Amino acid sequence: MTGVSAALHTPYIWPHVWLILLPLLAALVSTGLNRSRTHFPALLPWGQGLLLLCWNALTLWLWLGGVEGGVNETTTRITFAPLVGPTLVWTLLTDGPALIMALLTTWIGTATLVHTGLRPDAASRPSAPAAFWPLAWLLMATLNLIWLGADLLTLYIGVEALGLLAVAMIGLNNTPGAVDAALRYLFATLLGSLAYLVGAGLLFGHYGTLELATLAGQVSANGATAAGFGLMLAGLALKAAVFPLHGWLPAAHASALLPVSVLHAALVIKASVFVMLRHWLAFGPAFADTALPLLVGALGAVAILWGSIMALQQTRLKLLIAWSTIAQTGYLLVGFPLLLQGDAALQQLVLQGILYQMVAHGLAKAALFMTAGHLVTATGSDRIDQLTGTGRHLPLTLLTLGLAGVSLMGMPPSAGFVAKWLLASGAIGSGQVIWLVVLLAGGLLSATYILRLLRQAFREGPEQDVFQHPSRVEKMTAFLLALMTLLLGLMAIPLLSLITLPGGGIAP
Amino acid sequence: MSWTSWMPVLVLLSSLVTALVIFCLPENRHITRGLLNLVGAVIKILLVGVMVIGVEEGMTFEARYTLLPGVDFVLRADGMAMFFAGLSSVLWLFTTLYAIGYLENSPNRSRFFGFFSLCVTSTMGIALAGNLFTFLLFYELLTLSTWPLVVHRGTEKALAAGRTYLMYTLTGGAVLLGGVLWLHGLVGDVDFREGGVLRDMPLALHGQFSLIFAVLIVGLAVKAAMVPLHGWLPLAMVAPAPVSALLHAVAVVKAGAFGIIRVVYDLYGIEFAASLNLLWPLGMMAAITILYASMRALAQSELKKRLAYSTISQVSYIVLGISLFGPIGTIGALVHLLHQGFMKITLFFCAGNYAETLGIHDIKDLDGAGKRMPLTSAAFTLGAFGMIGAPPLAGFISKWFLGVGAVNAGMTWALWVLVASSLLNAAYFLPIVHRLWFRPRRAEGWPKEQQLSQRFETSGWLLWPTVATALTIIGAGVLAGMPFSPLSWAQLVAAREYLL
Repeated sequence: MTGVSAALHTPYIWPHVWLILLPLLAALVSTGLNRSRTHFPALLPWGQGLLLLCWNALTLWLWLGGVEGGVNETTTRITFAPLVGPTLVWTLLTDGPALIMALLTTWIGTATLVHTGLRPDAASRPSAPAAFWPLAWLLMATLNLIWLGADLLTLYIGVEALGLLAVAMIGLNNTPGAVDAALRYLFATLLGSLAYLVGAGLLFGHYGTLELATLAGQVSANGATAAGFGLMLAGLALKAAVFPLHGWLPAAHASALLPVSVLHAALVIKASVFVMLRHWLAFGPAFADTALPLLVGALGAVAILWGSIMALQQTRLKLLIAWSTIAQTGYLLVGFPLLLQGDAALQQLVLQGILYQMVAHGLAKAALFMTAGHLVTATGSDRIDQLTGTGRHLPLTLLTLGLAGVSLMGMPPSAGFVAKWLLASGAIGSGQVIWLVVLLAGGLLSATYILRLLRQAFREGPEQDVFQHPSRVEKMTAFLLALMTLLLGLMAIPLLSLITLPGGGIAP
Repeated sequence: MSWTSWMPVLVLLSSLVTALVIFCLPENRHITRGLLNLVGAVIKILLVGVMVIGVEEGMTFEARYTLLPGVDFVLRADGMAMFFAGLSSVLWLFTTLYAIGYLENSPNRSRFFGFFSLCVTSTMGIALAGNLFTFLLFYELLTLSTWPLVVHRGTEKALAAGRTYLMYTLTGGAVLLGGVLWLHGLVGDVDFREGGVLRDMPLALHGQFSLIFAVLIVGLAVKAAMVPLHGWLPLAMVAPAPVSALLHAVAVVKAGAFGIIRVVYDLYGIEFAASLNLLWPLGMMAAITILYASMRALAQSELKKRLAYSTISQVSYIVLGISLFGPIGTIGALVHLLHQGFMKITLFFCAGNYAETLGIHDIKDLDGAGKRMPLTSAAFTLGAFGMIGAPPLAGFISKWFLGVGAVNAGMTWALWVLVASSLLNAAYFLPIVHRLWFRPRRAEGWPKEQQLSQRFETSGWLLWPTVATALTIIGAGVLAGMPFSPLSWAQLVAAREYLL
C-alpha cells in the first residue's frame, strides 16, 4: 500500500511543500487554459496572472517569516511504500539557502513569464509556442524540488527531470541549430545524471542511507566515498557547464528561444551548482586536506579567465552572454575551497557569498538576456557591431544592460559587488589571498566584455530612430530585474539573514 | 531619524532625484531639464550651507545603516567632508549653467545631464562617506557615471579615450578594493575619525598597515593622476568642455586627492602615518609628479592638453601638502583642494569658450584673442596668474602655506620643488597670456567663428559662469581672512586634525 506519513502534525511545513505543489498545479492549469483558449480567450491571461500572484505571495510570506524569526529549518519526510520493493523516503529540507533559491526562482520565473506575455496567441510577435507555459511551470516545480531536496534520491529525480525539461524547452525552437544544440545538451545531461546515479549508488552501498544529513555525520575519506563523491561532482559539473565540461552550453543558450535562455542561464545552471554545494557541505570536510578543494577552485579560476576571454572574442550578442555565464559560474566554484577553511563564522560568510552570487548572477543574467532579445528585435540582427546608435534611441534598454553589467562586473553598488565582497572577505579571513586575486582580476575581465557592448551602443548611428522597439512591458520587466541587482547591492541584510550553515548560528 | 541624519541623505538625493527625473524626461524638454538642474543645484547648495554652519557649531550630521553583515553604510558631515562638499556643490551650479549653454542644439542631452547629476551625486557621496567602504562605493560609482560623459560624443577618439580611462580607473578601483578588504579583514569596519583610528590598533599589525597604505594610495593615485598612473587624463580631453572642467576641478582627480586626505588624516592619522615613515615616499611621488607633469605641459601645443598636464601637476600639490607633517602644510593641502578647483574650472571654461566661439583648439591660434573676447581672456589671465601663485590671488595663499609648511616640516627640498614648479607654471602659462593680449590677430582669421550673442563676446551661458569663477579666484585670495573662506575653513579642519 502507499501512504504519506510525514510530520503531518506540524502544519507549518505545508507552505514549504506548496513551493513544489503550486507550480505543479499551475502546469496542469496552464495545459487546461491552453486547450480552452479558443473558447474562453480571457481565461488565459487572468489564470496565469492569478497563479503568478499566488506563487509570489507564498514565497514572500516565507521570506518575511524567515527574516523576522530566523529560518525555521524543517525536515519533511514523505514515505512511499509500494506493494513490492523497498520503502522510499523523500526528504525535504527547508533552510535558508533553499528559501533564497526559491525566492530567486519566483522572481525570475515571474519576470520571464510576464516578459513572454501572458497571452501567447494574442501577441503580434509570439515569442514562444503555447507549450512553453506548462513546461516553464514544470521547470519551476522541479527547481523547487531541487532546492528543498535533502536526500540523494530526491536530488537525482530533480536533476534528471530538470535536464529533460530543459532539453525539451531548448528544442521548442524549431531551427536546425536549436535541435542540434538540444541533442548535444541531451547527451550531456543524460551522461551527467548517469554519473550522479552511479555515484549515489556507490554511497548508498557503502553507508546504507540516502539522506544527506545522515551521510554528513558518517562520512569518512575512503575509496568508495571518494569515487561516489567524485562521480557525483563530475556529473553535476557537466550539467552546470563547469570548465572544461562547458562545450555544450554556448550553442544551447544562443539557439534557444529567448525565455528559455533566460530560465536556463539564470536558474537551470544554478540548480546543478546548488546540488554540488549541498554535497560539498556534506562530504567536502572529509576531503579538506586533499587536492580536491584546490582543484575545484582552480577550475573555477580557469573558467573565469577562459569564459571571459571567449566572451570577448564573440561577434554575436547571445554567444557573448553565454560565455559570460561560463565565466560567472567560475566565481561560484572559487567559493568552494573557501568553504572548507576557517571557523564557522567565516564559512557562513563564504556560503552567503556563494548564494548571493547565485542571486546576483541570476537576476543580472536574466535581465541581460532579455535586453539581448530586445536589441536583436530592435536591430534585426544578433551581431554586436549592429548595436551602433542604440544608445541614443533605446535608452532604457541600454540602462538595463548597464545596470546588469555593473552587477556582473562586481562593481558597487550592486548585488554582484556584495557577493564579491563576501567571497573576498572569506578568502582574506582564511589567508588564501590567491582567490582574492582571482576575484579581483575576474571583475576586470568581465568589465572588458560588458564594456565592449556599451561602447558599441555609444557609437553614434543613424540620426533617425530606425529601430523596432520592444513593448513597454518587455522593457520594464528587464529593467526591474536589473534594478533589483542594484537594490540588493544596497540592502543585503534581508536576504543574507536567511542563511545559516547547517548547525551554525544565525547570520549577525 | 532626526533631521540631522536626514541632511546628508537629502544632499545626495538632491542630485540623485534630479538624475532619475532627467533620465525619464523626453529629449526635447530642454527648459524643464534646465530648470530641474538648477533647482537641484540650488537646493544642494542651501543644504550644504546649513550643514557647514552646523559643523562649525560642532554639530554632527550622520546617517547609517548596516548594508552587509559587519559593514555599515555611513554618511557623515565633518569638517573635511564639508570642505569637499562645499566645493562640489558650488562648482556644480556653475558647471550646470555652463553646460546648458555649451550643449545647446546637440543630441543626447537627457543622457548627458542624467549622468552629469549622477556624477555629482557620487562626488557628494565621496565627500560625505563616513568609512572606507562607503567611500569605495561612491568612488566606483563615480568611475561608472563619468564614463558615459567622457565618451559622450560617440566618436572613435572619444571611445578610445573612454576605454583608456576605464582601464586605468577600474584597475585602480580593483587595487583599492583589495586594500580595503585587507584592512577590513584585520580591523573590521572602522569609521573615519579626526586624528585617525589605526594608531590604537595592536602593534603587531603595524607592519601590515604600512603595506595596506601603499595599496590604498596606489588605488587612489590613479584617479589623482599621479605619475606614472596619469595616462588617462590627457586623453580624456576629448570630452565636452564642461565635463573636462568637472573632471579636472571637482570630480575625478579631486576624488583621488580627497581619498588620500581621508586615508592619511582620518584613517591612519597624520602623526601615526608620520611615525610609520609613510609620508616621505608620498611626498617624493608628489614631487616627481609636479615636476614631470609641468615639463610635459610645456611641450603641449593644444590648449586643453596643456591644461590637462597642468592639472596633473597641480593636484599633486595637494598630495605634497598632505605629506608635510605639521598643521601649516595641512592647511596648504586643504586650501589648494578648493583653490585649484576654482582656478582650473575657470581655465577650462575659457578653453571651452575659445573653442565654441572661435573654433580655437591650438595655442598658436590664440594670438590676439584678447581683443575679440576680453572678458574670457581676463578670466583666463586671472586663472593663469593664480596657478603661477601671484599675490593676491587664491594660488598665492596655497603656495604660501605649502612653502611655510615645507620649511616647518624640515623638508626644504619640497620648497625647491614649489619654486621650480612655479617657474615652470610661468613658463607654460605666460606665453599664452602674452599671445592673448600682445600678439596681433592672425591674418587668416579665426579657425571657425560663431556669432553666439549680439551683445557679448559669446553666449551668456558660457560667459557669466566663467566670469563668476574667475572672481572667486580673487575673492578667495583677498578675502582669505574672512570667516567661511576656504582658508579659515582649512584652518578649522587642520586644528581638529591635529587635535589642537
